[in-house]
Amino acid sequence: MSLGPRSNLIFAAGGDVLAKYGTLTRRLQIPTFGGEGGKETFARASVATSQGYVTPGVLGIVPVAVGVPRIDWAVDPVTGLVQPYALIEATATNQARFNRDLTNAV
Amino acid sequence: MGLPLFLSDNLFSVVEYPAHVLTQSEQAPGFESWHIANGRRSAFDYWTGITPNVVQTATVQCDRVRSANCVFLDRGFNYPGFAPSLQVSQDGVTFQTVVTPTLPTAVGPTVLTNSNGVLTEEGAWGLLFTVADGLYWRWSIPPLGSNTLPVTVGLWVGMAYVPQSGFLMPWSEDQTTLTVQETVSPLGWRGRGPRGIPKTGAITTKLLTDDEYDLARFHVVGLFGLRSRPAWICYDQSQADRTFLAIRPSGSGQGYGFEGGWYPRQDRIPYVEHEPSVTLL
Repeated sequence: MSLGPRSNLIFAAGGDVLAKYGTLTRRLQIPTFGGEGGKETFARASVATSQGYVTPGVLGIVPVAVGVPRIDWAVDPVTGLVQPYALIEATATNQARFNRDLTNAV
Repeated sequence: MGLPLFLSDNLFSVVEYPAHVLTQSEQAPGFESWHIANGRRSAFDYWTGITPNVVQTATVQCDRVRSANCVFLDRGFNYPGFAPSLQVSQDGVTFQTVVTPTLPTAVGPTVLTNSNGVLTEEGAWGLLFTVADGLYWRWSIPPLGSNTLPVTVGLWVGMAYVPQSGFLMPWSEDQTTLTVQETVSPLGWRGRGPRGIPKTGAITTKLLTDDEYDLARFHVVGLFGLRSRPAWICYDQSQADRTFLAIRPSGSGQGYGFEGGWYPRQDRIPYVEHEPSVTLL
């Protein structure tokens, strides 16, 4: 399959882009020339965790600060290689916080 | 023969990335941490701390999550045989180690992906590692012993560009130009001052895909060409001890273009070694 000319690519983002370009969204030129005008905006109100390398070659739980996108390192099912993925989730609220108490009391 | 490598990107440079914030554990007056990414190679232009025999760190907070796969130390660092570490963090509190090489003390023809990296012929050091990402990147130097402060002349951490076609012929990583002040006596005897022998040449590349131009445009056209930032040029990753630091020569033309006989683009990139060491004898 032909990929077509580069100019046909309007937008690219995610783990593959991070591994290739060094940023979560495709960049076209150096920052001082406006090449990162397609910078992602991301919001999350709480701290979180993701799966990353805790030591060289060892995957584990990595803390992520408020408002920082989560990058999950996981095995690509096709290639079998570990690669980064942008972990995106919609806003959600836990309706039942405890299985022992469905009144959801704190 | 391995693939070449081209590294001009540097997350620690607040000139390349104006929104980045560089901090450090300590910095001596006149030897602040910004010296590690100012591109100067003088032995008198470096970052050091104040308290000997403690861990010293330089940390950059990026403006967004950024990844890197290559690290270089410029010549003049004083901790070969020790094990500094490159670390990342997504919150600035908990850091994960990306690499912990024991810096080699001897030059040898070594592959750039060697776990301890490669000491180049002029005394710089480099390592190509599996890509890692973080909002914070940290260079951590272990205690070096009593009365010893760490000296770091230059530090590059960034994404390296590996031209997939390799460097095309003519190909020589050892081509040089002699620069020297000289007086010739009437009898033809020559008196010379200190000799500068910078590596001087040009690398020729052809992109294999149109998509590769995104990377070439950022690293070669943008950083090296439009901003004239220094770049580590490695002709062959399996002989990485011959890697050197170069800049774009004055008056040189450059730019990936469409030419006959090849699609998509190709370029001939002239370079001259940046602030080469001087031969006094």
